[in-house]
Amino acid sequence: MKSFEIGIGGISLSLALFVDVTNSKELLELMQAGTLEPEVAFLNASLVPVVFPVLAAAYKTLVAKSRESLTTRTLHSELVYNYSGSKHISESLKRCGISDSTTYILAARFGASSDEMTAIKGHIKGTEIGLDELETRADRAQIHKHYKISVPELGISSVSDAIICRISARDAL
Amino acid sequence: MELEGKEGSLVLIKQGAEARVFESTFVGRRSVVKERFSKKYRHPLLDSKLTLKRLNTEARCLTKARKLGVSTPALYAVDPVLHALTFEYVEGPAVKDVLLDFGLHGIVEERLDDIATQIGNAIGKLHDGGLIHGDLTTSNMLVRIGTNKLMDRILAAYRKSSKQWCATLNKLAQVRQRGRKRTMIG
Repeated sequence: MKSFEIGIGGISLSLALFVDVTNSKELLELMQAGTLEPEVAFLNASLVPVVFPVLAAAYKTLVAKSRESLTTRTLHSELVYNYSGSKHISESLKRCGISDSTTYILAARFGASSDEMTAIKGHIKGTEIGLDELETRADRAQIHKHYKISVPELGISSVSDAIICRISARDAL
Repeated sequence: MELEGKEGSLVLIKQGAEARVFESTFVGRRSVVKERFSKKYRHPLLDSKLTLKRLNTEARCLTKARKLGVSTPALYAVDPVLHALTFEYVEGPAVKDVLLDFGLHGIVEERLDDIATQIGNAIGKLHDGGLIHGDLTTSNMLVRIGTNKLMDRILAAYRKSSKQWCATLNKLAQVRQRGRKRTMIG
């Protein structure tokens, strides 16, 4: 687990990575019922090759929150939505978030205390691993498909930069 | 100068006719913020629409250029309220400075060739993709270690054209014939 300063209002983002998760269905149900405490974002970790794009999405989320212009219902669902390159809300939440069969999850929470992070870890039935494993476990094919990254683009850019460009430019397109 | 609510400080690097360029940090990484300012002489509604349109066009063209395989700084954030774009900070001298340096200390042939080739390739890709740079000067190109990055000034308008190269050649021949300026007739 690691915390990152996003740079707006002194709020940090805490991230924790899990493999072999067996209760995604349950987590999804709790989330949709709105009874999952504390509020947390579950990202499909296969789409995360490195932490930076998630931080960019977090930045975007905090800016929107500070302007009272969230597109989704909660701060954390907004984070998942902002990680997507698509403006389509439900599609983005489905693709970048978790499904019943997801076993590889990145949990994220804004301004989390260590108690809250412990509580979150308690909910997830899986094994926590270090964030440095993101790179090797990322699903490159899925990333290239979801973000529509072309071969010429990969010649001049890292996957991380390609994802960030889509995250930041999404609403300008 | 501090932007409200943001922790990162901004250090002005350059001011142009359209925008101010600052150096800042974005989630801990060195970044460049390009803030378009509003023109007071314009009608405020028109001004805000125009500036926003330019902002979005720049973001769109940058992503298009990347898809075409043209090296540009990565776009970290777009702020429609402040009309600001945050880019990755590219380390390296402007091509202009490299050439000036050649003037002072002598030309390094291979490096010159390398830069020229990369510029040509990049522009070729842009044009094939229907993008026009709009402000192609050596002060707008940065040489990053090992690569050449075309800086953010892609004001570009989209144009549909298939045989770009032929059109350009023909135009070039025309210009050669009559000289750069057109005649003042008509």
